[in-house]
Amino acid sequence: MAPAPADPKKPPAPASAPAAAPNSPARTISGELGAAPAARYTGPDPKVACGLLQGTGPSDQALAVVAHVTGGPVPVALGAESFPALRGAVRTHLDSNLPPGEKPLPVGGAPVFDLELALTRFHDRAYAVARVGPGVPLGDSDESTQTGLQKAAWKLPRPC
Amino acid sequence: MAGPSKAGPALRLLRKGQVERAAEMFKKLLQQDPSDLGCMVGLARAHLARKKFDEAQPLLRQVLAQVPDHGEAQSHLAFIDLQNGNAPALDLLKRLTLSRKAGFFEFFNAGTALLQRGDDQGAQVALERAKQADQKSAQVRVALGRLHLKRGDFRDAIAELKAAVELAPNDPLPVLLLSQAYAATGEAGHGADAVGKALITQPQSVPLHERMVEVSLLAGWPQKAIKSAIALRQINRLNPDYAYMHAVAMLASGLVPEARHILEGTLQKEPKSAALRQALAQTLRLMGEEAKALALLEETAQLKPGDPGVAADLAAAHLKAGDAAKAQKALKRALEEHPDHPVLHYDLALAQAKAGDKAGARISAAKAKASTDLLVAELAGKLLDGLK
Repeated sequence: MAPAPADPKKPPAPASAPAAAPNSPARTISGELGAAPAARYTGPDPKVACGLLQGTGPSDQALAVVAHVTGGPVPVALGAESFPALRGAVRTHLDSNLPPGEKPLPVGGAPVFDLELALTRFHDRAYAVARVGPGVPLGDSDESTQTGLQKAAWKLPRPC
Repeated sequence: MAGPSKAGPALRLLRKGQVERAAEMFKKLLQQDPSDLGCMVGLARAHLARKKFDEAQPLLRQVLAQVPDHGEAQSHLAFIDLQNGNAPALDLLKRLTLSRKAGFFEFFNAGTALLQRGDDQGAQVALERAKQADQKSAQVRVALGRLHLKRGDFRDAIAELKAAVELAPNDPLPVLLLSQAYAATGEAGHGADAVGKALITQPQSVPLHERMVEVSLLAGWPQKAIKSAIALRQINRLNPDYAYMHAVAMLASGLVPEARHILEGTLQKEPKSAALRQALAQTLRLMGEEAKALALLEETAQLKPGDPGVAADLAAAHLKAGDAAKAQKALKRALEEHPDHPVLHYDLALAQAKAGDKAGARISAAKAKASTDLLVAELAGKLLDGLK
């Protein structure tokens, strides 16, 4: 079968792909060296199941996800029965190693997202973006959801 | 008679979130007409939005000098007083909500103050009234959503937070809270969908990508987690946490050597991280390098002897090698710092039983059985039956 005609919009394909130098693994998208091809995995399926870590703080602030690797269990024989030893959950974030209460420093110039601070800022924005009052007509951009009567209640009396 | 307020354009800027520009415009307008109440209230709001209470106070007092029963000004002043430690101001805040003319800010300030004081029930009443006064306030929806989350009313939390997401589509915060509420109900997939939708408009948002990794893993979608972990690494190449998250996502996806490779690289940057060392030891174990894994865990247990994950993995390795005494030692050390850790109690029961200490094993297994972790409780129950 004849080969398909080349797409004129695409650059011509090189005669042969540039061969990788021996023992020099390709770089990944994040710039690191990729795993050597020799490391073909033949071990057990890691069987990772993720769950929430219990008791990690207020439910409206903390979401601590952990990964349970259950592949390759360790059976502990007790008489006729056998029970699996449980492994520790793998955390999805690095442990900070910071003293309690101390906040992490920015890494790579990017500020660390602080949920508490974000919540405060979001809350305080209510004073700016509120669509109600103070009884000043804003023309067509007035997006108040109040009824005419409610709006009238907001009108400020003008000094004579 | 004074003319109509000229605050309109500045208020529009304020409502668009351009607080600094709006404040400047209010100030200019007040120079032209110092009695413009709309500008005074608007500028006070701009100061409140930036927590500049000292600058808001004189303006609000000027408003009250002209209109002594101005509800909003009274409410803001009482709220500031309360923040400055004047506890009786809370009574005034509550009283202001009873006025027939009470509007959004009277309810919002009272709701916020009651939340701060831990009166969740009172806060909910005030915030619901604030919602009636301004159906489009994302802040009220978030406050109500958090309140429901705190109480464990996840369905109500989801309803409020979904509305907040629609009202503030360019802010990651409501989506973060919504995904949290979904995760709490076991519907992490819905959370991942919500975060994915937000990432379309905020593709460079670090907190959204971080949350995407978490909820995708929780939903059993490691490929999505890998995608966001890679995005995080592209946004900030120097943060070792993102490399670590990438590795965990790879591990969850079954890509063990790839995960190991990333973890080994990250270990050079974060040599003392117990989480990283534990994850690396798990990949080593899966790849059949048990001796290396054990050495790494023992070294980590020296660094952080109370770490429960490391202790449980170390105990499992010792039990596999038939050394129940070493397993017990590692577990007991970690239990000193985490006396209620169910996995530690369960593994300790196994180690004690293996060493012939049936009485000790029964006590430990009973502690593990009391856990809210269903898997541990079930295994501990079976172990207790076997120890009879």
